Amino acid sequence: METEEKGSRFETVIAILIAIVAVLGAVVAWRSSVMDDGAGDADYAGLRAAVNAEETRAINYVNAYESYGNYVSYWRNNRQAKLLSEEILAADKENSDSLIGQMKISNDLADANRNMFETRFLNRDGSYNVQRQMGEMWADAAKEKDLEYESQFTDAEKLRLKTNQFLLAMMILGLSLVFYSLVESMSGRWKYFLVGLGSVFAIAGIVFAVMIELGKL
Amino acid sequence: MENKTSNNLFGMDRDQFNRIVAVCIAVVTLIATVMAYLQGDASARDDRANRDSKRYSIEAFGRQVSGDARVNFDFNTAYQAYYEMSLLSASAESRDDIPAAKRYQTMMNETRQLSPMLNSPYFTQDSNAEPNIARYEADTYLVDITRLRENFLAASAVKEGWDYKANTYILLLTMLAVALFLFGLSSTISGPLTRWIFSGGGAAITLVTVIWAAQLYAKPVFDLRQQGNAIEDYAQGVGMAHQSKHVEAQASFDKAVQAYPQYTNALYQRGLSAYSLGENAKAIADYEAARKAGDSSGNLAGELAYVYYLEGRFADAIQMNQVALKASPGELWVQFDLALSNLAAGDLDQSKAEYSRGMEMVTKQVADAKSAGKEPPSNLWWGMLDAADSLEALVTGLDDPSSKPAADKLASPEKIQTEAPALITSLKSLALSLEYTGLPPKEPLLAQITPLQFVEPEKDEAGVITGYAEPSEVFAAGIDEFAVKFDYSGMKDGQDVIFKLYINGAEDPSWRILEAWSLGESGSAEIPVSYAYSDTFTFQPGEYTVELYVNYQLAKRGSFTVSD
Repeated sequence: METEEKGSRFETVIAILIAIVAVLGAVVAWRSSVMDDGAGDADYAGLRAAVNAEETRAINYVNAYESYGNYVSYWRNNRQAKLLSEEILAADKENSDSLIGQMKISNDLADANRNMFETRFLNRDGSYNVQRQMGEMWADAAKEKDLEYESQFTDAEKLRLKTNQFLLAMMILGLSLVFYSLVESMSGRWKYFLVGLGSVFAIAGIVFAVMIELGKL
Repeated sequence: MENKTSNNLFGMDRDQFNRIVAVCIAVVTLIATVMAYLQGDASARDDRANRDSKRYSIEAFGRQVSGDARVNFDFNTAYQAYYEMSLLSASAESRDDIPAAKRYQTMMNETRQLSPMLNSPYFTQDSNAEPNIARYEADTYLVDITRLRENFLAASAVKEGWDYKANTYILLLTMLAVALFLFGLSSTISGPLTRWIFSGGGAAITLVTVIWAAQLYAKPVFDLRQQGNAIEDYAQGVGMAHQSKHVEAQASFDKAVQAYPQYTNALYQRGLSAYSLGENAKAIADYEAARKAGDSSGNLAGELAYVYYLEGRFADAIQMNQVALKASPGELWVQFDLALSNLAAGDLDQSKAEYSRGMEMVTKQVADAKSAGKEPPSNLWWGMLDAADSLEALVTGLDDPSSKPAADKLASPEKIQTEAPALITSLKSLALSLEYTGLPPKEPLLAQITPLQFVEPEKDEAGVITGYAEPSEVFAAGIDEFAVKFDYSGMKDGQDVIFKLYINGAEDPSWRILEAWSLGESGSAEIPVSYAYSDTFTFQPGEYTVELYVNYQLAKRGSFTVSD
């Protein structure tokens, strides 16, 4: 009678252990699913940032080189006017009048182009700093939208790793379930050995899952 | 006791059976967790590859646009400014305006600071050549976007592979669920035989699932990105080929193929480089290898067919063109190559039928585009003119022992000699008529035009044309004006007349003349083609061809040479 009662208690303990491990397995599966979802979200955010970045790069290049083209028109006329002014000094009266006319036209054309580009990107020597313009445009765009996608892809990878680790933890917990289930088919000391083995795997799975959750792996 | 005995099968009572089933369920559960892990892993790799493919595609698009914007500035603005200054300098010098020449020279030199393309290694100021824009493009963005596109293709293939695995693992997990159901059911059934059937079914499904999963797991997912430097070498090769450095390109493609012998794009590009170097046997070998490695595109089949044709393998060319058309129906250049191969093979009727089919295809494509309010693609015009050029090359090659295909391989050279000119005229007329009207030529050609003659004008001191020199087929370098002279009859005022000028086989569209005829029904005409307004430009040495179209029908062609 006492042995029967002892056996029944043992079975109850095993059933409770199986139930606990099953619940913990479900929790681990939930965390794995959450991580997987997070990885997908990070990927999506990264791709959105990549679209922003490449769109910004393309627009910046088109606009900056258009400005640079306008600068070239300005530069041509401005430089021509300066060179003509030097020629005028050495020219005779007849040629001088013609050159002055040409110089005035060149200056007018240079002025007409001056408003077609951002003069603040001119260097001290009069050249145009297109790289600075593009850098500034990029910085402006970065204030309004996310252009950094590498870090989001890195986050996605970290979350994906966690997803796999949680699945691994689930496997370990699953092993403990096998050993707990085998207890029923064994007798004597083997029962306790299997319970011990199952508990070792259950604890290992739980510790592993907690470490993943805390980011200790 | 009796009951228990009747429940026995294979000497096992129900309790023993249930204990075994419980173990089986536990084992299957464990297998399912392993499978779930593998599915999760495959799904993660699938997601990663999917993300990477999108990322590469987005990056390639951005680099392409920004690279184009940059190169457009470098060539169309910076180099254009340099070129204009050099012309102005030369012009001032020819007028003996030395100060102006110096001024423009100074500006020309200063223009070089506007773009790296106007400096070494892309540009040599002392030569009259344009900057090496192909090298600049390759260095600036072409190699980069080629690498990104290949990575995109590779990642897409990886995505497909892992997607298949992930989906199959889901199927296997479903099978395990069925197995678990059968095991569970078997423990509740009283009949021993049924119990064993259910549990046996569960075990069989589990076994099949495990074997299938093991095979699936063992099957690797191919990733081109992990094949050494294959993609990098391929991208470098494309950059070299873009610069027409085909020997260097071949060396890069060799490395790519060495890293991955089934690399279809590298095999195809190596074939193209070999073809460009005139190494047709190598080109054929590479194209065939690319097809064997899995490239079933119409483009590759068409290219292979053309090299077969050049090598005189007309039956192979016809068969491969048909393969290409099956893969890419409506591809005009392939259709016309098929017609050409038939002509070379001596099947004139079939050739004419194929040319007619091609011309119907192009007419329909233009009509469809126009009716949809769109424009046809530019390669449609290219396909038509390429067909005419190929025919012309075939005819001129009849007297040239070094031509390809070799004349002695042609089945019926005399048929080609007599039939090709009419086909050329039809193709050119149709192309021009479709270009301007969207329809084939409406009326037959009624005008009679004598052979075109080329003459230099004679002028008085005031520069007024007083007459023309004797016609010639060769002019000395440096001429800045000539006239096309011909007699005509059957013309009508108001008819559309178009002149096209080809220099070394390529039309220079800046010389195209389109006007309504106003010189009456018959007479003599001299159409001037002149740089006389300029003191800088002259006609450069080369082969010049003029085509005269009346109402979009090719009426006459004539050629002359400007010698060195």
